[in-house]
Parts: sequence; C-alpha cells; structure tokens
Amino acid sequence: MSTRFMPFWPTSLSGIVLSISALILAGCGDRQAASQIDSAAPVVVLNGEDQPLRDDFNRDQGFVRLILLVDPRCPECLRGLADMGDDVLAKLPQGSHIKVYVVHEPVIGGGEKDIPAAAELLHTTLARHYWNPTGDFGRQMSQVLGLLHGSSPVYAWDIYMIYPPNAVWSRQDPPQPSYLMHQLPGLDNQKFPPWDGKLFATKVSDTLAAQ
Amino acid sequence: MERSGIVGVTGGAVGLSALALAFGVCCVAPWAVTLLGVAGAVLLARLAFIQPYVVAATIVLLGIGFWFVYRRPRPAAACDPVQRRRSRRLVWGAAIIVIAIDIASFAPRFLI
Repeated sequence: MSTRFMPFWPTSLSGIVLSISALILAGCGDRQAASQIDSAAPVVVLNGEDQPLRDDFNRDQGFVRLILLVDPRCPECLRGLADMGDDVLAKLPQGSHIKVYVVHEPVIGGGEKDIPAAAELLHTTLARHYWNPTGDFGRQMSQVLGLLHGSSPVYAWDIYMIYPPNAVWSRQDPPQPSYLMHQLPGLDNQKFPPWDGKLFATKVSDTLAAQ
Repeated sequence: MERSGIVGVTGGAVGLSALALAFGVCCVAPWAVTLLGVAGAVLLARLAFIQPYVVAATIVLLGIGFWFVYRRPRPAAACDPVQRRRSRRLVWGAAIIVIAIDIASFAPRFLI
C-alpha cells in the first residue's frame, strides 16, 4: 500500500469516525422529547406482596397477559420496550384480548421519573406500569424462573413473558409464564431464548389464537 | 503526508474504539439516556451488535499504523530518524489506548 494511492483517506478517517460518533451521540438524541413526554401513563408502586400487580393479573384472567421487567434507564431494556411497541403491540388487531404489565426496577439507576418516557415506547396507553423501588420483584422472578448463570442466580430484568388466558397467580410467587425472552448475557439460550421482537410477536399471536 | 497518514489511522482507531466502548457499555450505563435521550439510547442498543466489527476495524487501523512506521523506507525518500521514532511512539501509544478501550468495551458482558 503506497501513500501515493491514498492521498487523503487516512486524514479524513478520523473526521469520518468522529462524525459518525457525533451523529450517534448527539444527533440521534431526543432529550427534548424525553423531557416533554406527557406523563399520562399512571405508575403504581408495588408493595412487598406484589400488589396491585397480583390483583390486576388475576382480574384480567381470560386475557393473554404480558409481564415485562425492565429498568427504565437501561438502553437494552428501552430497546426491548421499543421493539415490543413496534413489532408486537402495534401489529395486534384492534380489540385483541391482551393486557400488558410493565414492572420497572432500579437495576442501573432507573427511577420512577424515568417511567413515562420509557412507557411512550410501547405506543399504547393500555399497558399498566408498576414501580418496584426495592427491586424485590426481580429477585422473586429470578427464583420462579430459575435464572442461573452456572450456579449463580441471575437477577430478573430485561425479561419479556407471555401468560396464557387461564394463568392464575394463586400462590405467593407469580406463576410460570408459557413463554419468555430476555436480553441477559450468560443464560442458557435453549431454555431462555434471547430477545427477538418478531418471534415474540408470533408467540403472542399464537397464544391469542389458541384462546 | 506520511505523518498525517499515521495520525489519521491512529486517530481513527482511537475514535472507533471509543465508539465500541459506547456500544459495549450502553446496556449497563444509565448515562446513555441522559446524554442521548430515550430514542438515542434505543438506537445505541440497536446498533450494539456491530461492536465486534468496530473493534476489528480498530485492530486493522492499528495494523496499518504499524505498517506505516515499521515498513522499510524507500531509498529515495528522505528519512528523518527523529520523526520516525516519534511516529512509532505515537502508534504504540495509540495501540495501548485502543487495546485498553477495546477490552473495556467487552467487560460489561461479563459483569451481568
């Protein structure tokens, strides 16, 4: 490779890289939107007995139910919510028998104030949002689902679960979902498939069709 | 030209490694939402799959940088040993920084 044949590319390379970085780090940002989002989504605080999620879940028996566990400041979780909104909920027929519960947990510093902006990604006001400030729900779900990395338990977050219409939350712990996907590294991908919005949408449609 | 070429590839490698770091830590970094907003953080997470390719590009650029400073000089070209030594230091310095950042960009995968 002779410098004769590349009179300007190396010097402009830094500029190109910086431009791409700047575009990603600034141009695509949406700080304004994040701060101006209408906080229409009501947020309910979960108590130590998982109420009122538990009552809501049982009251909605007969519906396909989705429980999503996220941190409202985690970019991967936000990506999961955005995919859920774009690939799953937006594509459902009007009047589908489905309920969505989003449990927000403070895993990497997310707070209750971050929930309205995250909720916007679902493009629906039908989802109910719960704030679990202690993070206990993630530990509980980790045990229920048996999330392990080797022999170490993996905290349950960035997880998307489907419950069939006949699922009942009768014991202290939530019931097992019929299907789940996640974005956590280190889990057995055979047992716990990694997040794929389009595949998840297919599973939701199948569960709705099986009603 | 040669000097600017070396600066270009080493600067490009450092810039790309910073981008790889942004992709790598985006899943564990609450600052992403603060800096980029929700839409920007979602975009960063959606593009995170290219992180290994970005890291590979930094290694290629470093390779080009090393090729520049260690290739045999053309007989006709004027060779300034001081300049050459500086260029080698620059590339080695960039290599240390880039490799450190590249390794750091993969670290979050093992933390969660």
